[in-house]
Amino acid sequence: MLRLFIVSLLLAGCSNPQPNSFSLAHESEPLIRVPTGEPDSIDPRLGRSSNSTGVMHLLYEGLMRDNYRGELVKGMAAQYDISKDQKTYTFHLRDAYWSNEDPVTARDFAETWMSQLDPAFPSPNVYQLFVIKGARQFKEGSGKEVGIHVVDDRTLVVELESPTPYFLELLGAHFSFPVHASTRDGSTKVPVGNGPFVLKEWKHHSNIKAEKNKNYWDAGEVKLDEVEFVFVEDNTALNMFLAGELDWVGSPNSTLPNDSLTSLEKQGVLHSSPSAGTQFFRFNTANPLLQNKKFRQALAYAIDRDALTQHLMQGKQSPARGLLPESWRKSSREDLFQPGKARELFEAALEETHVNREELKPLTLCYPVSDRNHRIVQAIQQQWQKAFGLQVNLEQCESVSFYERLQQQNYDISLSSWLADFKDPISFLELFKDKRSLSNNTGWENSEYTRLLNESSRETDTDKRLILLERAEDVLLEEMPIAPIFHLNFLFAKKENVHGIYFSEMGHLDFKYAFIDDAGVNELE
Amino acid sequence: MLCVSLFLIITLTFLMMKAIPGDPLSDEKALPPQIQQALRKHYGLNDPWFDQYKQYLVSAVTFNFGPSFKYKSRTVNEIIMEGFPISAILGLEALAIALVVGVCAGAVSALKRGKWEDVAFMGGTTLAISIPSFILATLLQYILALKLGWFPLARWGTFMQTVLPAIALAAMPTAFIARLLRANLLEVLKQDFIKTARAKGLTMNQVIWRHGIPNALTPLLPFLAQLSANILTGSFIIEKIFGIPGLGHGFVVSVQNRDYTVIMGVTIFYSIILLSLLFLADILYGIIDPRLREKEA
Repeated sequence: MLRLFIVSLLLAGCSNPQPNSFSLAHESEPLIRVPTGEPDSIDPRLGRSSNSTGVMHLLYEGLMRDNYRGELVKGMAAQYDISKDQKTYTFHLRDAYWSNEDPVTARDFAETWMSQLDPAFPSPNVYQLFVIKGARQFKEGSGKEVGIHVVDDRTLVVELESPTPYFLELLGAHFSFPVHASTRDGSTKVPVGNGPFVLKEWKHHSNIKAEKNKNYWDAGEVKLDEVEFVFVEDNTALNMFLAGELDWVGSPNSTLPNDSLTSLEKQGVLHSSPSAGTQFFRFNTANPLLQNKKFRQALAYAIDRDALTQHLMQGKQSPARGLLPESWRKSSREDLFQPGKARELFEAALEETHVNREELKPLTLCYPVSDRNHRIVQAIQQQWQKAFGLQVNLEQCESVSFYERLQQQNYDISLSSWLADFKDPISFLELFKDKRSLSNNTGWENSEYTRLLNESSRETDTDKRLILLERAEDVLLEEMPIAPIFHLNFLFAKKENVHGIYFSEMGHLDFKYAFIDDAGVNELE
Repeated sequence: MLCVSLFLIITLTFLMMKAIPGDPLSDEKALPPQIQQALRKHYGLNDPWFDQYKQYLVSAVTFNFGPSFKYKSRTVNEIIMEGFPISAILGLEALAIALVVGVCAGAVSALKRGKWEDVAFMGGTTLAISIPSFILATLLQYILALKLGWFPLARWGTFMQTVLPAIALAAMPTAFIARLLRANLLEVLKQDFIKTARAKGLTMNQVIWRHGIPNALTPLLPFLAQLSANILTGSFIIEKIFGIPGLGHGFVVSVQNRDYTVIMGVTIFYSIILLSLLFLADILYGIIDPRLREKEA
């Protein structure tokens, strides 16, 4: 009996081979496989993780979208008008259809946004819609009118609280995507989408397959037949890539092991793409020493970012000179590594705080657990020890416990990173607008900084507004409640025949223009 | 007794779950307070702890654990019903390997005591016990899948995809079973009834299979019950390495996500399986070894 069982198992194995398991057999198939993790939801109103946003950008399209060069272009909107005071936007929708052939209407947008604004609806991203007139009050249950008006099936008017130069950017993000009525009323669990692809299969904790949406308004531009997201962990993903079972590995939703970078680079498959993300230290200004500006400045100026980048990151990350990504600024900033100045500031800080060097208590540096983070903080711990003889104790925390400690300001120094939600400096700078800002967590505030941000929100001239925001960043870097370390780059490896995937700075892949070409064509025509 | 144990498990799990810092809404990108409040209200996180505790007790009785906090469109029951069969299939395969290979290796070792077969098997089992499963899994993946291409690297769906994870999962229990069986068999073979059986004219093979192994297996029953419960409910690390959508992986991830309903639901489900199998082992113990019944009588 046992023999029969074993033989039948072996026969089952032999008769059921896995078609894509061993080779590059699917090289020329119009299908791309990418590793990621299980999305928390694929309903744009509910999902919050980066695993979710990647899938949502396949299945849905907002009034605006990014093209393959990362430029914001019209999506569901055929055209739009902006009023002189920049507070009223009128969108004229294009002739577009949902995957079930229903027309996409202005009502779909309005009803989706209003459903998020329903005080009882558990929408984590709805605060992004608070730029719309009356939206915040409506969500809080105190308002009745919201500045969203359906003129007819093809015309949508949106009134804003104040001029918001990044409003169009918000409309390209997943929290502004329309959701079909059947998803909103819960009559189907299989989403009807309006994006370039439509959901084909979702095996939980295993994979998601999306196939080309034939009813998409721009279906002619979509070359791929299918995209598959495979949910595997980082090392397995790398091995699968090396075995030809995946076409892409690494960012945005998996991490390349540090020791694989050199070999992937030698094979010519390693790529990097800039992200709208910065890694930095937060200083808790409730600590008597860190309350002192010169002390914070000394710590920030003593970090040799170039050395860290070269030795720890194989030169793949960019040393930070500020909080904002370099390309977002008009003027460039000077190098933050100034060891001489750091030592002077450190001595001055000790004098101001009346602390003897011998009395210096060790500071605690806490960071979310990861091999990469551990290497970074160890290196900086040594740099501070060498520069000032300062002792820093390292404490690694599991991620959720780390967020709790941040919110309770239960740390001295913490290693943090921030990835912008949309492409505008305000999505970084607003973090530290005042003490009450949600993710400030440093206890720092500065009236000049707050004033500059407030002034920028009233400024309708784009250039003048950018200057105000850059001045605000200058204040932040003079005060140093944070010490920027790296501007993050997304690292990934892809097969040579995969082209046209747009990698958003905000951390999602757009497959609309993706294609596979074994001849090695690199450019989109 | 079963109910008391379950009650204690639920209570302790609830207390520990609430004691760890953070909740399902903790995130580096903090939510505005009014949104946080709305979400907390929606998920019942603002209810007094006693009400939440009561809710979990009720859910254990009705076996309806409600929706997952993290995976918004799924219920805990769906997560268990989808994940458990996968972990159980993998576990059964591993258990079959562990039993067949373990019993054969243990028996051969005992019969060839002191000879090269014994040394080789015992050396092998020591190695299998010492190597952590994640290292073995990675080695198997690297050599048999990546280098030789005999098996798929990861994922779930075909029999071939189950082979490497089942071997990795079976290695340590196989070694334990082999070593325990060897020791027990050596002990059993010294007993008088074995000599009697031989004296009655049975061949050595007949003695081993009819009398030796069944008697040597009896003390293994409690271990096998525990092992079955552990192995059937899935292994976090093996499922993670091989990208298997089983319950073991989902359970650990639910703790990382502070997905309270999933943590409680899966713990209760695991506990029921573990307690039932231990109970079953006790019953089997009595049936297989009549001496125990006599003692109790």
